[in-house]
Amino acid sequence: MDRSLKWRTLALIASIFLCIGVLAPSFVDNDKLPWWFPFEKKINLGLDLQGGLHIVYSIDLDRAVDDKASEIKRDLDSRFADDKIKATVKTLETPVGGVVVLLEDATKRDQVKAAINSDYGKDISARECAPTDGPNAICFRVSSTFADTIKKSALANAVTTIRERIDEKGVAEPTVVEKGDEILVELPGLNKEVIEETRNIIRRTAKLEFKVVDDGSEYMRKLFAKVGSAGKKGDPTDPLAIKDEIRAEIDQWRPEEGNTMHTDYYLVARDRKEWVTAEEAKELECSARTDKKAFKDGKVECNVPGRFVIDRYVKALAAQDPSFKIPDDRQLAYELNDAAPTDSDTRPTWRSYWLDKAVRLTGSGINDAQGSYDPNTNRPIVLLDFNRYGSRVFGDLTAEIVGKKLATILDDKVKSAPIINGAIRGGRASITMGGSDPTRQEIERNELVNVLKTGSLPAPLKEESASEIGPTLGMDAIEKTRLSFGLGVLLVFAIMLGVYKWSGMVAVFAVLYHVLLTLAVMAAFGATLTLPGIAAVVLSVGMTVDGNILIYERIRDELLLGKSVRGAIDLGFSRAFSAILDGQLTTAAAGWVLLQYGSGPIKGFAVMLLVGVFTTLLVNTWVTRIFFDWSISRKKGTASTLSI
Amino acid sequence: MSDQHKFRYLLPPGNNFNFVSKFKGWVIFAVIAMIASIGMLFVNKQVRGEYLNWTIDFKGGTEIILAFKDKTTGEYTKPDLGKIRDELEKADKTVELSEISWTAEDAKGDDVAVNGVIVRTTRFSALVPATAQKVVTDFQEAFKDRELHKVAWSGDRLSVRSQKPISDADVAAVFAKSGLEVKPWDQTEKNLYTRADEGTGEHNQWFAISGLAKQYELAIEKAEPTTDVVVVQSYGVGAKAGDKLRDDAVKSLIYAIFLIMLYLAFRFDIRFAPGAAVATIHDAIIVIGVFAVTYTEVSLTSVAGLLTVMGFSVNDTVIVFDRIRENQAKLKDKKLERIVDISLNEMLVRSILTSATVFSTTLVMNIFGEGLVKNFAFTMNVGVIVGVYSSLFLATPVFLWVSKTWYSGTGPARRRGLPVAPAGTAPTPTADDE
Repeated sequence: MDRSLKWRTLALIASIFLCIGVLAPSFVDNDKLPWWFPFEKKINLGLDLQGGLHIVYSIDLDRAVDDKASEIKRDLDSRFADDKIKATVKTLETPVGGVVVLLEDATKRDQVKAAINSDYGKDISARECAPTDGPNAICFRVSSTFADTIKKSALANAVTTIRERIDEKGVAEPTVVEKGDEILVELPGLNKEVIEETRNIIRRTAKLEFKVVDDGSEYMRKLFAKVGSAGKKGDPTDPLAIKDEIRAEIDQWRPEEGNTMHTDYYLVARDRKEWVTAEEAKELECSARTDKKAFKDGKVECNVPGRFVIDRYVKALAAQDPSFKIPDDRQLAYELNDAAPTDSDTRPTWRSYWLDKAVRLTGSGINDAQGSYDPNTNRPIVLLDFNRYGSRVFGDLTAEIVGKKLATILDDKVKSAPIINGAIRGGRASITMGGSDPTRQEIERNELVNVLKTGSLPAPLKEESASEIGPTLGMDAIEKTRLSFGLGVLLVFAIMLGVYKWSGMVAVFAVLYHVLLTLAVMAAFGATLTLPGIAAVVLSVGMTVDGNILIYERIRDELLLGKSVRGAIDLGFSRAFSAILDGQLTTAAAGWVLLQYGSGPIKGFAVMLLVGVFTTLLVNTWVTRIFFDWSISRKKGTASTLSI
Repeated sequence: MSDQHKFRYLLPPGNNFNFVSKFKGWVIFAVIAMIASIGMLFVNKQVRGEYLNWTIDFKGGTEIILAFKDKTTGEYTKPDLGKIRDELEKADKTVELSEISWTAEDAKGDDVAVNGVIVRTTRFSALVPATAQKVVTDFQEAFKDRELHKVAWSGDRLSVRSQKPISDADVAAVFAKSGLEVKPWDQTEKNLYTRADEGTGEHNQWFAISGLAKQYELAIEKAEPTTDVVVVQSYGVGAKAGDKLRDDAVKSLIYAIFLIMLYLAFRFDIRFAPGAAVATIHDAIIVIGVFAVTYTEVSLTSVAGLLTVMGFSVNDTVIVFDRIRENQAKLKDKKLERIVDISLNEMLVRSILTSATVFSTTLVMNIFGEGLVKNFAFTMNVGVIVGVYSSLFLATPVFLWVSKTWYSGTGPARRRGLPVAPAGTAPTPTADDE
């Protein structure tokens, strides 16, 4: 055996083992694999095979625009009342977002028109009045630029909130992506109950509230002491807190106005993986996992968010000592932080805030928000623009709480809690982002802008298409596909063996290797297998067989022309190669286009087709060849016949 | 020398069929088939109202699979199709029902056969425009005293802004007039969806109707109180989403064909590109024609099937072309027609063998598979035959015709800088093979 053949054979055998290794996590439980096992990713089954929920949402822009018109109407109503101008403001059904102001006093028309333009200029565009509106009417409509910006923010915002809400439910491998003007949500392997619940949760409009942080409270001081903070690192001392990995920390600041130091105590906890009973899982809202593998001795593995960990801890304390019961006018709210990049523990952390329960202002007080940078420190900031009502309330509120923190709460989660350095009047405010990582700051800033921008106008989500696929039918489909696919492959084997004898066996091996390699490539990338994907595998298996037939026919031709076995094999492979390559590259071209323009199932098809091109080329030119070279070398190159 | 090789032949070697002389007949046959296919689409439009049997993937609508359990025993029961149809048609005239059965685990963990019902409707939401309008009018009528500012639908949710709040029970009564069920909110949602604006004291409320599946479930359970209706699966596509899917599918097909042509033009020669394109388009048309004749359901899986067929056919065509190109270089002294004939004869065994392999595989899938798999396999069965036909008898004639008409049958000659005979005159300047 020559050396190159030896190496190639070794490489082939090694690649088979590698493929099996890569595929192992897809077929064996991760827990059953040894800890050093290098591969984790597995082939995901698409919704059509596994069952689950697939929904496409779009933003109901008409509603958002209509809401904006109503907001302008409310603002104008209160302004006219303040300025004692007699006028009626109407919003219109058609065009959506149209507003008509009917003045009683014609002399004020120009003045009011100028005021409206300066206040809402960038959000509105002029519109012809209907003849019935009379001469004193001012007509305008919410502009398409406004609609565009609100759509963008609303989309980005919806993606973030949906993702957060789903993550909290502990759904395995969710997909939430923005696609054009739509949001695609895919949740594999859910059971009926959870599907309905999740659908509701996804479509909840986000609720934006401002609440005051009650720093230096007696309660938190006591809680801080209970949890304990020992040593340099401030490790907890309470056994229950140690068990739940809860830490107590201190935050201190000195506001620009006034010299009093503020001290706030808070708790921090990380997300935890816990084995809980089915009932507890329901309570913790992680019932989304229905995977049978997740159950062990009647318990299910559940990702318990840090906020639940702290809530549970405080409840346990209150049960022992009634003074730990949270008073009715206070609440604990939580801020979610990703683990710092320097942190060895990658689990996200939750930080508690002790809040005055009263809602001081909601999103309806905000007119607009923009991202910007602080001119002095260059830190990312959010510029807030309140509407008339909002600016009054916000001014009073900030005057009242100078030195304290004001928490912005979205969906019951604290998004930011800036220190109020002084009364903010005039309807404008800025929020400086906290934290130390500039990229992180920027991401959070942009998220906050989207939240605040759409906060006043929770543009509702509309379902454009929705499918719930029951896992039973999905399983049925897999069984039948597997059976028919297996039978089909057996038939190919019979034909190839019948026609090409020994070489047919090589072709059979080539097909098996091809399927193994394709699956391994999928597993390596954690790709998703769908029914159209299986169709593409069928196609590429077909093309591999075709490649073998081409080579074999070519070798036969050369043998008939009187070439030696070695020569015929050499020529057969090299001549057939150009046809195989061209066929595969054309297929690749088509696959690439489908990947770009196709959607959903077509995309799944395209991915598998491209994987198939790679494997087909490899199998036809390299794997098959090894067998033929091996066969020649066994006969020391003197063979005059070949079983083909 | 060649006696020592004992091959199992599909066709004895040295086959020498005269393909080129019969090209005209093959091409005419293909053209007729294509015209018939397109014609069938219009026949369908006339007779059945639709060009093709689009599934809801493309035309929008909902497909719901229901199973039925006895409320007391919890065991699966056999549904009474007629009764269910009567009940559902009360609210929606477009429903179509059919039976389906599958195996599932029952409460004890045993495998049992379940008889279910597939309900298909053209609706995506329980709400149709007429009903939506009626509800708005009813609302304005019923809640005049609440000083309504705005009543508007957003999908299956109704947004109401009024000076005074409206109770759920009152809303349920108004919805019931149009045969709609109110979807109850949980506490969190209630807080979210019924709130007063602090600035103006205006009430901003949202009310929702239950989804289509839930509406069906409730309707059947009302008619048959002992039955527990289980929604096994529901699949809905909005009309807009359906249009988008269809556009995406068509667009990707067209781009794919274009790119294949471009590739062939660069890698082979521009003369080969039209043949491959015509063959690919031919395959698509014929397969669609078969869909039209058999009125098979056309879903996204059918599109995947169609793509597979086109992929095979292009692969097939390219391989035939590759041989023609090779033989052109090898047999410079032969006429182009002769070269094509030799190439096709050489490729015949391989073409038959490959397509036979794929055909038998997909035939098995067609026989044993079910649902989507069967649909796909059927497409492939048709496509494999069509694909081989088009590579041999359509792609090559087009190539030959393009070569003769615009390149005088001697493409390489031009590159070699030899004089080219004007079109219409005797083509090859070199010796004939006869």
